Amino acid sequence: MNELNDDMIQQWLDDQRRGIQRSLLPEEDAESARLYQQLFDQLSSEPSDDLSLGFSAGVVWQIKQHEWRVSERKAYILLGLGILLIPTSAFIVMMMFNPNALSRLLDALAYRIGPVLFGILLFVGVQWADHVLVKADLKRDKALDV
Amino acid sequence: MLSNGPMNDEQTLVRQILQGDLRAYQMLVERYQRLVLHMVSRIVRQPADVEDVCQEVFIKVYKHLREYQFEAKLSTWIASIAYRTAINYAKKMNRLPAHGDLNQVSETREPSGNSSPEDILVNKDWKSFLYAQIEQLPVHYRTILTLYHLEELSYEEIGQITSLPAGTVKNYLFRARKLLKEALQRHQKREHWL
Repeated sequence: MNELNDDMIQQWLDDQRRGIQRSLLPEEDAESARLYQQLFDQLSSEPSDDLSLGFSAGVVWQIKQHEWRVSERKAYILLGLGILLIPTSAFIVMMMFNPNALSRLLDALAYRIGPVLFGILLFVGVQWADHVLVKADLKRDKALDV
Repeated sequence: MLSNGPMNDEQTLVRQILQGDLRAYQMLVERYQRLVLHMVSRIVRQPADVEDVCQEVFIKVYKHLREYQFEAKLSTWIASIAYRTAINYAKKMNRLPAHGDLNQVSETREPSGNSSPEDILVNKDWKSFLYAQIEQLPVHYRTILTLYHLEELSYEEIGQITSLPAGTVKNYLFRARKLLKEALQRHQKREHWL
């Protein structure tokens, strides 16, 4: 069997698959045609492996989780910006309308910088612990439920 | 008048998803999960990893859906993402076989004098033998066989997915089938003499 005949038989079977009627194959190609036919039938049969039953729901759940994380991150950023914006705008207003009061405030703050920094760090620490310890546990529980 | 129903249906589905309808996306996943599974399982050899890669494919599809411009069929676009994801995964895990000799199907699973009982049992069934031979083919050949015979895509569509010219796709397809037919022929002759 030469390569041209092999290609011709394959083309002939491809055309048969597409419903194109062709003349019959020569008798000497019958054995090759039978083997190719077996091969074509097997290649077209559906494999037995399958995805798990809840696959599509699992994908959607993953996407929801991702979107939730993104919106949570956005909310934290907005919160952080808000926290920064309030004292900053207060400083700007004081600077514009009452610079003396601003310098008195800065002097007072200089004495209390320790407790202020402690307060900020405590707030950030509580948020971090809430995120890492509590919310991560909730996520793990949800993941186990799926 | 010609109807382009499936295309309109796809456009409606994509629009619903882009408006945030996750139920519509679940429908899309259900519609194309078989195609993605066939693609991925031909490239990723570890069954335990196949589902994870399929999930990664659909998450990528969701993230990039805005970039889909309806130039190709949605199935072709999703299949190209599945192909690239599976290839990258296999490369990362070092499980992608070297290209080797594209004209030779390995005969390691054919019966020989010192075959294990398991090999002999597997090779008694020509279908199992054929699947083992397909697994030995280079990754391009396996992918093209799957897309052509199982998904019934055209040479051009397979070319879009694999980034190969349509002529090369046809050439690979014919060569892969010839290699498999020759392996099957050898196997049946051997069976005949046993």
